[in-house]
Amino acid sequence: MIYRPDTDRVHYLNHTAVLILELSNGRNTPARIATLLKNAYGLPEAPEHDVNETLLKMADEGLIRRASPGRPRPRNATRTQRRP
Amino acid sequence: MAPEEILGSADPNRRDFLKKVLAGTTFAAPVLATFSMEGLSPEAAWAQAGNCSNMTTSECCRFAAEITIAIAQLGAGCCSGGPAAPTAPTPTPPGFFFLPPEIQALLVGQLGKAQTLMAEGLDKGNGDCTNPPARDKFKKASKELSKFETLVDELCAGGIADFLKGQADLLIRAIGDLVNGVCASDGSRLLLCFRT
Repeated sequence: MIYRPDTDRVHYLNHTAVLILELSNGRNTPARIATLLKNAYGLPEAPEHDVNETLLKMADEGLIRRASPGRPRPRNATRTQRRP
Repeated sequence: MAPEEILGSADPNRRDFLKKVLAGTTFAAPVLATFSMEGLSPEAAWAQAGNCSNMTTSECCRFAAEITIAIAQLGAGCCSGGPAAPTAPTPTPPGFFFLPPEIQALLVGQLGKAQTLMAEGLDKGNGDCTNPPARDKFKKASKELSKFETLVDELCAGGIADFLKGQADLLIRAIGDLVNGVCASDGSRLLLCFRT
């Protein structure tokens, strides 16, 4: 559960969304996060679509932001980072 | 499950927390639900109910306003520590303030949805509150209260769960009356608890 006083909004995350948020630390790409989930839970495929959708929602809500721009990266390799 | 890899990819100071998150869980599709806390104070509810103050207010509008305020009171946890209304169960069950903050926030967020829909219904009602657009909003508010009950079932147990669901039931029945045009507002039956 996250409360953001600046927006007066409460965000409820289930355990998978929490993992995605915690792994959005600027070092993992979305594809890497999906792979980590796949390995952790023994999934047959990496849940890339779920991860990407969740990251987009989190970015829309301001929970994460794109990492500082460096070299342009393909969309599916964009790193994300939790807001400080 | 082998959590070492995922833990190794997380920040070191977050690994203990992630261990707990991972413990005993299976994969579920990620869920991110967001609630606005705007307008959840009783004062805001009064302001919203005031939409009828500059127009010819019908009995149903007044009733709808009372329901809106009662939802806000429930969300504000006004029963914690305060005297119970004569019809409230005895002993007075704890209010939201006795629940963990995370659960309080989730429950209040859900009630906020119902409260907002009630306020929108008042606005659509334009001093009548029995027209179809207003009734549609009130019906949706009732559904949000049903979801609140489901949430209580998931998050709470025991007396507090029974109390919260009982209060929500009361509000749902009142909205049912409102939608059916039975708007006998006596100014008291929806006041779940009173501040002194």
